[in-house]
Amino acid sequence: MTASGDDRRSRSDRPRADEGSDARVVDHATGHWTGVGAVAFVFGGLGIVLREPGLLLAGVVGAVFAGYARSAEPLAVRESGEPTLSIRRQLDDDAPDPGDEVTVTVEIRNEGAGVLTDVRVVDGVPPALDVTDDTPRHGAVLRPGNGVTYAYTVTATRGEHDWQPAQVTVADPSGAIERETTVDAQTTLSCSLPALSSEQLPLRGLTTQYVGRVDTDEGGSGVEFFSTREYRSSDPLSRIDWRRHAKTGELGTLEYRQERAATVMLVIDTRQAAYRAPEPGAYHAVERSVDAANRIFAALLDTGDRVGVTTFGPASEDCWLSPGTGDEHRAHGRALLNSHPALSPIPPEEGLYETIRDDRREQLKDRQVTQLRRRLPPDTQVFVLSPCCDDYVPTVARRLDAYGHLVTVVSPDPTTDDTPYRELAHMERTDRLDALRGQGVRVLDWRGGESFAAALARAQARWSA
Amino acid sequence: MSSPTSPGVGASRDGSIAADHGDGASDGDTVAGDRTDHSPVRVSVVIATGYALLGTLTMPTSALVVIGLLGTLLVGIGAGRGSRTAVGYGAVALLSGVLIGGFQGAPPEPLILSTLFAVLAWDAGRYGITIGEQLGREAETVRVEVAHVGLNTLVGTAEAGLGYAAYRVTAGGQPVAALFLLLVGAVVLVVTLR
Amino acid sequence: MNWRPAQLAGLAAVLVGFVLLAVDASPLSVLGGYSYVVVLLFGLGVVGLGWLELADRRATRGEWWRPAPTESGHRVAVPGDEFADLPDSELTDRLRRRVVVSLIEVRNCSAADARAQIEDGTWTDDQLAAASLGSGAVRVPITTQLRGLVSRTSTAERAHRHVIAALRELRTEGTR
Repeated sequence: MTASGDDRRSRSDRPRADEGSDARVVDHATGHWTGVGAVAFVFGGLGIVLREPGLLLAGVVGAVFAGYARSAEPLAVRESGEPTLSIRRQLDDDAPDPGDEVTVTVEIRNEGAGVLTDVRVVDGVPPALDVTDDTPRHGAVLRPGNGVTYAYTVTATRGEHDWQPAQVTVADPSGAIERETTVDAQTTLSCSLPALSSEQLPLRGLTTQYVGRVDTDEGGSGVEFFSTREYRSSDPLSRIDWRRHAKTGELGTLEYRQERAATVMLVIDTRQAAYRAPEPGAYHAVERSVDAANRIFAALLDTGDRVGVTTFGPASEDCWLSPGTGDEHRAHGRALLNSHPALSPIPPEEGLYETIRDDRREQLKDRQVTQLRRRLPPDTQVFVLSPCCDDYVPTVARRLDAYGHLVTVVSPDPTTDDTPYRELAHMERTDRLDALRGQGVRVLDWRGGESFAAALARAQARWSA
Repeated sequence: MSSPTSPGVGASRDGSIAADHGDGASDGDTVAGDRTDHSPVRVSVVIATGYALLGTLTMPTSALVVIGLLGTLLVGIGAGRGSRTAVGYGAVALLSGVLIGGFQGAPPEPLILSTLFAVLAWDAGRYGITIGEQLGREAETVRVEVAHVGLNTLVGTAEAGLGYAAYRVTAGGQPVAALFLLLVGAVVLVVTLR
Repeated sequence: MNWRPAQLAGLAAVLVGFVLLAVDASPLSVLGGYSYVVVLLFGLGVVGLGWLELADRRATRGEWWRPAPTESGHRVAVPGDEFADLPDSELTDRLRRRVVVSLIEVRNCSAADARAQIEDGTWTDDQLAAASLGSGAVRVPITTQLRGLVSRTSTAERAHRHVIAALRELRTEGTR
């Protein structure tokens, strides 16, 4: 801890092995005061030559600062082996839902015996969490035994997040030497998808309950009039549309359809192009898609439908849960949505098929869609969850629709209009969704900042209009 | 609107090396994932400009005030924009004014004060840039800045005061050698007493 | 360097200085007429030291602590940022397509009609926007060209910005 006469400049940035711990301590000679000595020499010298005591005294000012800076010593961050700084963190919610904001309160304390007049901290926020309010950086003046508290907010994403050691620098009062070190405290945030109860899921009318025509002679509940078709001689008399006959004299046969539990498949877009957010580190569209999938999955199981989950993107072959019902199935689904690697919050390095030649790429993309279609049970309704930031997913949606599956597109909106180019992307996406609607595909546009329930209400109003 | 993927001026991505006369990277997003605003912190800009202005006002003659104002402008702009070089030039301008005043035979009081204020302005300006680069504008750093500037002001004032007091003790002669010895002695004492 | 002897020397210098001040004697009078020369040389030597100090300053670089940024979550792109890397022709194509779609939607014209409007530049009042998408028959007014020379951003970028603003105008036209 003593200067011991070394030339400070050559000492700079030399890591010191620290006894008793693996915290790295690095000294920086900032050169904050270099040049002041020149003032002393020039003014002092000229004052002597010209016999101007004023200049000489002005030189004294410079000389004092030069001496002050040159004798700067790095402050002790360890005394007798113990670190002189400690950190404590508190999360206002240890186990939040994905997308929730969590406030982190940090306390830095000076455990040593000396005053630390210049403590600078950058907290070690886990790499997967995004700071959305305030800042993990802080500057403090700490008397011995005193601490300072500050807070910032992060947005939770799925997974276990451990805080890293906070980066701390203690500078000497003159600012000439900075001693850099780290301070650690074990802090973890566990975030997983919530188990939703039925009150939280106002998701009626998501599925078309009536699939497929059914010839039935039975009446009773759950049977609804569907249409009238031309009378054939084999039709039973009880099915003749007598009202129509009374009006027009023509004979027609009534057709009914029976309420049947729907089979639904949730397809989540996990391609690299789906990892988009309104800001570079923020809660991205894939996370929101998983959130929406969780809600839809639980809600549809509640209404008795059979629901499955799969992904569209890298590693999607092994992410497949066939439609089913029951508590065990519900648990499987939630576990898959929570932690299957195909649904990782971390974006993949490259786009799907980016390294492949253009002509082969189209083939492979086609094959993905064909494979998906082949695995889908017939009459399955498909929910495609994707931000629709490129033309690929809408094409897939249209193809599935053409094959006879009822398609609903649930699209979290990651676009903003901060800058002209971003605004263009926003316009393109809007037009894409409009085009889908124009082709008879139901679209739920989930804007940023609004709750899923609100987005659903808006969409349902549009669907029933 | 420039693409956010282009690196900002003076940003360094390796370790802890920053050029001495580097201009602070005042535009966020220069390092991957860094959205904080690294412009110099506000209080220090005000303090630096304030000290530079004081240094201008204590210039020996009114003609030198012009040079002082130029220096203040440079210090203010440099401190606000994050350019240590500009702050340096501003301080040099102020000190040049002091030097010229000294040549013209000005009394020691304004010379000492102007020099002191120029050095403190230079210190505060550069410090604000450093803190901005490290902690950014949003972080709460007022206490740290005030502590730094305050302590340096105390040191400077004390020593300038002592030197001036020693000067006043004499009967107005030109005890240059004596003063020089004082100068050396004071420095050494400061150095060893830390 | 051990500070002990230097400390003593410094203390001695201060004491001697004070004594000399009190006694108001100058030790240099011993040298007689040469005192000024000695002082001059000494002073210039000191100034020289100052110059060396300044030169030294240029040679060494200060270094500061550079904390690694921790604020951001996983780095994901914002939709639209990749347009900055597209070649101009592709971006212009995209813009044209967007204008066509918007014209069809808002002004109920046919696709051919829309394309004609783009060619003529009649789809918008903004001259720069019209010119940049048009066939070249549309002229850009001199004032806009001059402004382009002075401004920092490239002409293409400015043109794109104008087109997007004009697009925005066009699309909100439909909702009024």
